[in-house]
Amino acid sequence: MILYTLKRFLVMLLTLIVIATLTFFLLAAVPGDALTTRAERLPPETRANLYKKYGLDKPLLERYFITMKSLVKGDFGESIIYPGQTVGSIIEEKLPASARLGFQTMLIGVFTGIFLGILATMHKDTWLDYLIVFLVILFISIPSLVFGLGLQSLFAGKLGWFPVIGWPKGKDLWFGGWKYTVLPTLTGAFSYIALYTRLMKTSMLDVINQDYVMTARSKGLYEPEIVRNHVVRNSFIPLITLLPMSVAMSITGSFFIERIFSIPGIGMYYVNAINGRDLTLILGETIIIATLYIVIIFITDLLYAVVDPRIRVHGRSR
Amino acid sequence: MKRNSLLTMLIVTVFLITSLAACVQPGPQTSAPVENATKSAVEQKPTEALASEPQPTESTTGTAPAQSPGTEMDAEQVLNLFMDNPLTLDINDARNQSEFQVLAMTQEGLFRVFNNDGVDKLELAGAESYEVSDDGLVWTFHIRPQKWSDGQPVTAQQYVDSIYRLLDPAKAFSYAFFAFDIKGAQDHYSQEKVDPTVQDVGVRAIDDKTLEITLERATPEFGKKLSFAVLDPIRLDLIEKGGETFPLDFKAQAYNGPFIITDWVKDNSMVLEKNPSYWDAENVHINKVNLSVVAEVSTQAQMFESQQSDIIAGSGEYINKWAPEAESGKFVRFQNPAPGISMLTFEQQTGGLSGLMQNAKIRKAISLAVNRQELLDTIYNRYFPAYGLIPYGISIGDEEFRQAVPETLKAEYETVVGKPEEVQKIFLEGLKEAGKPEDLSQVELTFLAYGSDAQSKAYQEYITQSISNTLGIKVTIKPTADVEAFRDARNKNEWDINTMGWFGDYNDPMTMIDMWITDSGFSSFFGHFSSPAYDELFTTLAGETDLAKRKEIFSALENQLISVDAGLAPLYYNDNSYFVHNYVKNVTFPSFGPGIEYSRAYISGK
Repeated sequence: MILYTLKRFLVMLLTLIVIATLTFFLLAAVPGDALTTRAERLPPETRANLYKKYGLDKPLLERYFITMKSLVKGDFGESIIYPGQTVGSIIEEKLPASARLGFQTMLIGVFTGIFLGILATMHKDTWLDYLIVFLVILFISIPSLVFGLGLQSLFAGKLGWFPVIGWPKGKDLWFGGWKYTVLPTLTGAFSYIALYTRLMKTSMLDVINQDYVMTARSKGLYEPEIVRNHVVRNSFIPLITLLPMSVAMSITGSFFIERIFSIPGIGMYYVNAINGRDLTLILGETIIIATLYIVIIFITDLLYAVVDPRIRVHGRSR
Repeated sequence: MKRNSLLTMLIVTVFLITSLAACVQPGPQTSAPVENATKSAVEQKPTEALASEPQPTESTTGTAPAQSPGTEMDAEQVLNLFMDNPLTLDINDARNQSEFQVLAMTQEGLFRVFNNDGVDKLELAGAESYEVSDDGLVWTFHIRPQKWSDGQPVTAQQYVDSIYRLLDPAKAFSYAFFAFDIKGAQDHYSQEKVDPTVQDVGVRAIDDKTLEITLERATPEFGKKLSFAVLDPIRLDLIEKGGETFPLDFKAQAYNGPFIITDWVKDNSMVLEKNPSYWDAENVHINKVNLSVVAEVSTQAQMFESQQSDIIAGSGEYINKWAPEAESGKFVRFQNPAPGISMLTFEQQTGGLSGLMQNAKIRKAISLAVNRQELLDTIYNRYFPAYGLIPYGISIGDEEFRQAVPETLKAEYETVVGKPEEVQKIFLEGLKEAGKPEDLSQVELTFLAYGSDAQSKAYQEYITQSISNTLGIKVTIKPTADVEAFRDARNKNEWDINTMGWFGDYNDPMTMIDMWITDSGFSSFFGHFSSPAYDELFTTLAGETDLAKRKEIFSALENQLISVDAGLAPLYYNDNSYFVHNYVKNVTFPSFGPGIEYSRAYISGK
C-alpha cells in the first residue's frame, strides 16, 4: 500500500512538471505578453526597465529554467498584472471563498441529485419521475448565469430576503454568514443536481436489472432494504468516476457566480490572468488545480475499493 | 507493464489539460480591452447607449446645490458606491482611474478639482496660496497647515520627495511624464542611475511651509496637473517602513485627504471613513463610504434601484431606462462630456497591407466617407460626433476650447455629404499621387478589429460598409481574438485602418496634441503618424504664455492634423452619464481626476 502511494506520488510530481512545462511554452507561443498594457504609455527606457524587472527580456529557454527552478522551491513568484501581490498570497486570500462556494454547491448538488435519482428510479414512469426528468432538463438547459441573475433579482432585489451581493469574511469565512451564501450556492447547485440525478437514475436502472437484485427480490427481502443495501451502493461507481472533475470544476469554474454576487473568489483571477497573459499567476493556478485533480483521483481510486470490493486498488479486479 | 503506465500517464496528462480547458469558463467579452477607463490609449469604447443631446452644453441636468447644508442633513451620513479595484495605493504609482478615484478621496495635493457647472475648476487645497513669477517660470506655493492621519504635519519637503520619487527611472512609474514640465526633470529621468544626493530637478522646499517649483519653460497649463494624485505629498518614512507590501497595505499608509481607508478586501470592497485630521473636516459630512466592486452591470442596476447604492455610472440599456425616470424626478442625472475621443487611425509606417495609407488624400477621403451622426444614432445612441481633435470639457484658460474653436473638418464634410462622387474624387487623386491604378474597384483595405460582443460587431460592420459603399472600394474586417492578439497584429503593421481612443490626462488641449509629434513615443499606437509641418507648428508653443495665442496655435495644429494631413479620422467625443439618488447632495463629476468628487457631499432626505 505504501509503495503504491509512493509510486502515485512520484507520478503526480512528474505530471505536474510536464503540465508546468506545457503551460509555459503554450503561453509563450500565444501573441502578446503580460506587460503590454502597463508598458504601453511608457517611454522606451522605462519600458525596457519594466521588462528587465520581470525578467521578460531574457530568451525563452533561460526564462523556462528560471521559472522551473523557483517552482520547485515552491515560489510561484509575483503576479505581473496584479503588481506587488505574490501568486501565493492571491491564492491564499481568494481560494477560501471559492472553495467554500464550491464545496457547498457540490454537497447540495450531489446529495440532492442522488436523492432525486433514487426517487425517480423507484417511482419510474410515474408523475414523480416525469417531473424530475423535466426539472433535470430545465436545469441543464438554462445557464447558471441566468439562474443566478433571476434568483438575485427575485429573492434579493424584489423580496429582500437575502443580500444582493457579498460573502462572509473574517471569522465567518468558513462557517458563518449563511445569508450571503444561500443564493450563490443554489445557483451553482442546479447543474450538479441535473447531472447527478441523471447519472444516479441511469446507474440504478442498470443495477436494478441485474440478476442478484432479482434474486434478492425472489428471496422475499423488503424492497427498500434491497435498494439501500444492494442497489444504491453499487450504483455509485459512475458517480465516483465523475467526482474529481466535479470537485475541481466547482472550485475553479464558478467565475460567473462570483461575478454576479461579487464574491472575492479566485475565478476572476484565473480569467484575468489568462487575458493578461500573466504567466506566474496562470502557472500557479494551473498547478494547484492539477494537484487537486490528482489528489482527488487518487482518493476516488481508493473509494472504488470501498464501494465495490471486487476492485482492488492496485491490482486487477478478480 | 512499462508501456501501459507510460500510456496511462500520457492519457492522464492529456485529460487534465483538456479538462482544464473545458473547466475554465471564458470571461465575458467586454469591448473595452484596457481596464476601465484608464487614462491612456483605449482600443475601444465602452458598450453604452443613451439618448444624447446633439450639442453638449456647459450646464448639466443637475447643478450642485448650496455649500452649507444646515439642519437638513440626515442623521446617518453613509454613502454606498461602486468602485473598480485600485491596483495600488502608492501615490506615485497610480495609473488608472481606479487608483485616481480612491487616492483623490484619501489624499490631497496642492489643488483639488470640482466641476460645478460642466467645467472643471481647480480649488486651493494643500496650497493656501501661490504666486507665479512674471516670466512664468517660478511657481511658489504656500503650504496649508495640515496634518496626516497619523498626526505628522504636511510639509513642503514631502512634495519635493514625491516629485523626485516620481522621476526615479528605476521605478518606471507610468505617470512620470507628468513632472516633465519641471526644470531638469526629463534629464533626471533619462539617467541610467540616479545619484540620490544630487538635486538636479527644479523643485525645492524653501522651508517647511514653502514649496518652489521652477519650470523648464513657461507652461500655463502646469497648474492644471497639480490636482493629480501622482504629485501629492508622500511619506518616505512610511514607504520605507512598509517595504514591499506598502503599496497594497492600507494600514501602512498615512492619509491627508478627506477620508481614510479602514478596510479593504482586494477586488471586492473597501470602506472609507471621515478623516478627523483633514484641514476642512468640518465641511466633510459623510462619515462612512462603502465601496463595492460589482462586476455584473445588472447587479449594479438592482442595487441602485433598491437604493443599496447611491450613485451609478449609466451604461447600456439602463441609460434608456433611467433617463426618463430621471426626468420625472425619481433621481438625478449628470451628463458631462468626457475628455476622450474615438478615432480611426491609419497604418502610416509602411502604408499598411494595401500600401496606400501613406497618402494624405486617401486618408482624407476615408475620413470624409464616414457619417458620424449616423454612426452614433445607429450603433451607440450617445456620445458627440467629432470633426476635430479636442473634445468638449477641455478648457484653455477659462473658456471651453471646443466652444471657442470651430471644428475644421465639419465645414468640409458638409460640402461632400450625400455626394459620394466628390469623396471618391479625392480618393482617386490620392491613388494617382501614390502611383497606383486609378480604379476604385481594385482597392482593398484591411480593417483591424477587436471585440466580439454585439455592439462591437455592429460597429465594425457599419464602419467598413459605410466606407466601402461611399468610396466604392472593398474593406475587409480582420478580427483578432483578444486585446493581446490585437496589439500584436497592430504592432506588426498588418492592417490599414484601425480604431483607437485617447483620453486626456489634464485639462488643457496640450494633452491631446503632444502625442502626435514625431518620436513622441506614442506614435506606434496611432499608426506612426509623422508630419514635419505639424512638428514645426508645435515648436511655436514652447515659451508662448499668451492664452489667446496658444489657442490659435492649438487650432492650427488641429487643422493640420485632421484636415491637411488627415493623420486620423475623428469619430466621436466621449461622454459620462451618472445617475444619482435625490438624497445625495453636493456631489460633482470632474472631467479629469476622480470620476466622482464626493468629499463635500452629504445625505439629506433618504
